Amino acid sequence: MYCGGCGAEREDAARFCKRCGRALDDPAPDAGAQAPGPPPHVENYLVPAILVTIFCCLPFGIVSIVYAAQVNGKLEAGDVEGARRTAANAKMWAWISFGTGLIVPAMLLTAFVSAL
Amino acid sequence: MTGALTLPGLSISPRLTYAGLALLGIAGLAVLYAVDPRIPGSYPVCPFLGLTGCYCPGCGTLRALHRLMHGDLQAALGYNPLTVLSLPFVAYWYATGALRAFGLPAPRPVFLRSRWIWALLAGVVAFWALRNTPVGPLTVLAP
Repeated sequence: MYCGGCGAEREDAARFCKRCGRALDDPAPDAGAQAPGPPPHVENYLVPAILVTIFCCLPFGIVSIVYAAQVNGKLEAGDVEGARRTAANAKMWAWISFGTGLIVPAMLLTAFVSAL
Repeated sequence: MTGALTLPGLSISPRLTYAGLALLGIAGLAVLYAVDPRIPGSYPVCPFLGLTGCYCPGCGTLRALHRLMHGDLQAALGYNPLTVLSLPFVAYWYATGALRAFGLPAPRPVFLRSRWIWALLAGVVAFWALRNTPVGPLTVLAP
């Protein structure tokens, strides 16, 4: 389910949207009903993409930035469902990159211990 | 990240995600403050640099953050301007995301038009190429 106010994913039992704070007592309007007004927000993982670019020492971040641009491009074209599908890929990619990037803090820890 | 990490058999709530990121960040920065990355061997070399001999867009990030924490903005910009310029955006994104995860009021997420994200991508790729170009003034971009 998605919040009718901002388009963020919501838990079915939640009373307020974690993203925009909108009360969720009334059922989220379906896609057809939200045609007027700005498109809902779909997280595009741009900032994690940038973090991956500056931290992970691998060109993973470039791919993530492409995903982020595609998410917003689809939103601009009104393709909310397409944007959500791309965002799901972007999210998975962000976490894979983050997992790879965890090697860096692990190395930091090793450096710290060896410096003691 | 909207937060929840959900994989088959594994689910981490947004709150735990943001708290975990904070702990990881603070621990990393503490080590980085204390251990000077300008001394060779303090940290492992960037895998991309090690494999290809070329700088990646992130090379110099550790040295930049280290110098920034010691108050030397000019040196930080010299090691990696991309890192330094990203920091305010990273901080804003983390702060607003954490506020939302904990159910506190936060400004609506900013929508960036896709053409600006493509422009950012072009900028990052150009920075990547130019910092590997050992010609005259371009050497200033190398870490």
